[in-house]
Amino acid sequence: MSPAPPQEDADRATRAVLDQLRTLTQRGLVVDSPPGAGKSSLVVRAAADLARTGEPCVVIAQTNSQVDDLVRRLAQHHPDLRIGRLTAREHIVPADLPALPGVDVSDCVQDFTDARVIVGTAMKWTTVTDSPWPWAIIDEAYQMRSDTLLRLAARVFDRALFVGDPGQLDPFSVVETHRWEGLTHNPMNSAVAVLLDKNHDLPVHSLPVSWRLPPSAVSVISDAFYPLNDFQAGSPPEARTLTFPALGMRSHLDAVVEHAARTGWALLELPARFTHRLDTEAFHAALGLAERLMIRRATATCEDHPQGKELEPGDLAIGTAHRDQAHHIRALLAHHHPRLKGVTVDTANRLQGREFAITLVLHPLSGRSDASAFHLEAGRLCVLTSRHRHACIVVARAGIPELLDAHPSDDPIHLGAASKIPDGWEANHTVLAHLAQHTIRA
Amino acid sequence: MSLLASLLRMRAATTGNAVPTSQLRHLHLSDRPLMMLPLEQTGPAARPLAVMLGTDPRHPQLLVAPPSGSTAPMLGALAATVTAYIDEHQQRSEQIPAGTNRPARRRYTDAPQILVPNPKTVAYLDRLGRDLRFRPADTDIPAQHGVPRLGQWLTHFADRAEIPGSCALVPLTGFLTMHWITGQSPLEDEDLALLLAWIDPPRDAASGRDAALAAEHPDTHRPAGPATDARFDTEQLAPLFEQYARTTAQPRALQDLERLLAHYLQPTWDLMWQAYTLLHALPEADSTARRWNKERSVFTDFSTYLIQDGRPQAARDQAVSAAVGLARREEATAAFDAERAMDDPFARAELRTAGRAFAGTVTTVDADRCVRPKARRQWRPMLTVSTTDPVSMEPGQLLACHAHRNARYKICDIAPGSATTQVQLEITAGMGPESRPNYNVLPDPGDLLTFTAAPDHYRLPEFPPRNQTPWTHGGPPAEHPDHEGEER
Repeated sequence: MSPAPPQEDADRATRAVLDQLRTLTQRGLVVDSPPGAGKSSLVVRAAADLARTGEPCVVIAQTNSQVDDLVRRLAQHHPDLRIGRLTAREHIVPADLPALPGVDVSDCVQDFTDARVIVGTAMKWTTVTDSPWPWAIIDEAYQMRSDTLLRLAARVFDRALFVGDPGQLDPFSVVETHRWEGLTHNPMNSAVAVLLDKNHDLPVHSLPVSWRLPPSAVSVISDAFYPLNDFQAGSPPEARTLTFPALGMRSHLDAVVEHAARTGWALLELPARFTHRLDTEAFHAALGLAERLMIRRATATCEDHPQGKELEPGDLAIGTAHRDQAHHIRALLAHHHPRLKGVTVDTANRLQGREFAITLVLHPLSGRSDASAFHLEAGRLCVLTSRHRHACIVVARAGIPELLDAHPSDDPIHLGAASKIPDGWEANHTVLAHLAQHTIRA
Repeated sequence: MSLLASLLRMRAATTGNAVPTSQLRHLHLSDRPLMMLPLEQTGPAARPLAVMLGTDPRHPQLLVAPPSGSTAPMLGALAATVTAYIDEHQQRSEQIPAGTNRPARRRYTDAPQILVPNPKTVAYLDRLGRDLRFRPADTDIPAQHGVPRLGQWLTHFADRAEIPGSCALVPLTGFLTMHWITGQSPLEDEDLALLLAWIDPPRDAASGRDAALAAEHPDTHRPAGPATDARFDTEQLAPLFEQYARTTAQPRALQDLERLLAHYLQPTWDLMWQAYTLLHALPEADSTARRWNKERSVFTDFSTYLIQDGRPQAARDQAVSAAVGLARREEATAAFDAERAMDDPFARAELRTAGRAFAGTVTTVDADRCVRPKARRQWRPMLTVSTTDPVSMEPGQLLACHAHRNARYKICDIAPGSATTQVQLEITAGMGPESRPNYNVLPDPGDLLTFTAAPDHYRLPEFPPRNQTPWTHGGPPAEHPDHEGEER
C-alpha cells in the first residue's frame, strides 16, 4: 500500500490529536514528532484550541529562544488571542516581542489578567506558585528532565499535552550516579519516559510527515533513529533541488558539494589518523566546503522558493560534538573566511530544534581512538544529520566503522532500566553504511 | 581527566615518581577518625569475613565472623564499636542562630569520620547497611540490639559518600589521588598498596614505579578488600574453613582464623595510617571549614531523626526523594567545584587547560564608570585583562575571581590579537552598597588574576511533599516504604 499524500496524512494526524484532546478521558496525551514534522505548528493550534474552550492555556518550552519563537508564531496565526510571555526577571526578551499584537511580557504571572495563552520556560514555570491551570502544553518534552516535570505537575497544570522529538539528545546531569538506574521515576530520565512508564494508558500519537527533511534523508534517518515510527517526506524529490550557477574548479571539495547537491548526502573522508579533539585539518575542510558552496552561489529550490533562492551564509550550519570545537571553528571562520560571516557554528545540543538549507557535520567519532558513550549517543548524531532541508555533508577521518567494531557498547545494564531505542552503536553503523555510498576521499 | 592531569600523568610515567598536584586539602580530616578495613566472604552476598577497625593505629580491633553459622555476635560487636565511636561525637553541641530559611538550632561540635581503603569498600558498606537496616530488632540477646541501627548508620555514611565534598566516609585512594598523580592507570590507583608505593616509596626504593612493582609481587601483595585474593582463599582460608567445619573444638579453629586474618590485614592497616599521615600534613583549604560545618549539621539532623522517627531508610527512593536527592547532589557538585576553584591555584590551572578559566594581567581600570539603564545611576567599574590563554567564552558570560570571592565580572568584549587576547570586563557584583562602596574590589593595573566561569546561582528548588506526588509520577506512593523493600 502506498502512503497517502503527505498533506492529507499530516492533516489527519493533527486532526486526530486535536479531536482526542477535546474529549480526552486520561490526564495526558503524548505526540512524538520526527525532525521538522510541524511540532511547533501543532503546539500553536492546540494552544489556540484549548484557550478558546475557557480557561487560559499554559505553554511550557525548554529554552528562551523556543519560547520567543512560539510567541511569535502564536501572535502571527492567532492575532485575536491575548498572549502572555512569562519571563525570568533578569532575562531580556527580544525587542520585537512586546510590539506584537496582543502580546504582554511580564515576570509575574498575576499580571496576565486577560491572557488566553501564557508561554514560558520550564525553569520559570517551576517558580510559579498559583493554583494549577487546567491545561498545559509541554513542548520539547523529551528534552525536559523528569524531576522538572515532577515540580511542574504538582503546581502548574492538571492535564497536559506532551509534544517532542524522541530521537534527539536526552537531558543530562553533571552528577554521575547509578543510584536511580532502573527506577521508573529515575529523575535523570526524560519527562516523557517517566510519564509513560507510570501511566501506561496514555494515548501516544506520532506525526507522520517531515516537512523539513528532503526525500533523500527520510529513509536513512527513519531507519537509523526512529525504528519504531515511520514517517514520510513532505515534498516530492523534484521539489528540492540544489544547483551551482558558478563553475567549479574540479577540486575534491567541488566533487563533494556536487555529489551532495545530486544525492542529498556526502561524506568527505580525510586520511585515517588519531587526532586531538581540535582536528584543524578537518575544521579547514568543513570551512572549505562552506566556502565552495558560497563561491559557487549554491541555489536551492523548495516549496517555499519554487523559483530558486541563492543561499546565504545564514542558510548554512556547521555542527560539532564539543563546544571547544565549535569555538575553534568560529575563530578560524572569523580569521580566514570573511565570506562565511553569518554561518551558524554550534554543538548538537544547541542546534536542536533548528533548521538550515545545508549542514556540514564533523562526525563525533572522527579521529578518535575510542568510542565513549558520549560520542556514541544516537541523539547526538540524529540532531546533526537531521537539521537540513537540502543536503548534509559529513566530514570525518577514515576508519570509523573499524573503530565502532573495536568498541561495542559495554555500558552496564541495570535491572528494570529500559534499553535505549535506537541503540547508539547500531544507529552509527546504519548512518555510516548509508554514507559509504556517498564517500569522496580527500 | 583534564588536559593538565593527563600531562602530569605522562610526566609521572616518564620519571617514575608521583607528581604532587593540589597542595591544599579540600576535605576535613578528623583528629580521631575511625579506620575501617572490612573483608567480605567470597560467595554469599554481603556476608562479612572480618573487620579490622579502630581509632588507634597501634591497637586495632579485629572482629572475625565464623565461616558458617550466625554472624550476629560479630555484627553485634561491630555495632557496639561503631555506635560507641558515634556516641563520642554526640556529647557536645553548640547553638546556631537562626538563618534565612532555618530556625535557631543546636549542632554537635564534632562529627564522626570513617576512613576506608578504597571505593569498593564504600560500596560494600552500602550493601552491608542495606542488609542490616531491615533486620528485625527483636532478638533476645542485648548485645545484638545495635545491629539494625548499625545498618542505618552505614547507609547514612554510604549515602554521604556519594555527595562531592562530603567527608563522612572517605576512601583513602580517592583522597590521595586528589593530591598526587601517579604514572599508573586510574584503575591501578584504586589499589592502596600500589598508590602509596608511587606516592611515598620506601627509602630503599629507586623510584615510585620500582616500589609499586615490588608492592604488587604476588607473594606479598594484599588486596585491601573487601574481596580477598583468590590464592589466599584457596591456599590459606579454605583449609581453616574445613578444619572449622570438621572439628568439635570450634573456638580453637576460630582463633587460628583470627591469627591468619590479623596477619593478612595488618599491612593494609599500616598503609591506611601512612595515608592518613600524608594527608594530615597538607594544609586545609579555606572552604573546607564550611563543608565541615555542613557535615556536622547533617550528622546532627540524622541523629535527631533516629531519635524522633528511627524507621530504616527506604529500600528505594520514591519519586520525590529521588528528585530531591538529585538536586542536592547537583548543588553539592556545583558548590564543591566553585569553592575549589576559589581556594586552590591547581584547580584554577586545571580549569585554564579546560577552557573554563583564563589568567591575565590587568592593563586598564576604569574605576569611575557608571551606567544608567534605569532611573538610578549604577557604579559599574570596567577593566581590561590581557591574556595569552585561549579564551573560549562568549561575551555576557559571568566570571568569578579568586581575589574577591563575592565579586562577579561580566565579559563585555573579547578582542583576539596575534599573541594576546584583550578581554573587557565589567564588575557587576561585590562592590558593596552604594553608600559605602567597596573599593577593594578594584584591581590595580599590573595585577595577575585568574577568572573562572562563575557558578550558576543555585537555590535548592522546592519539591512537592511525598503525599502530593503528581499523577505524572504515579501519584502518592503507598505508605511504609520499609515494607516494600526488595530484600526482606
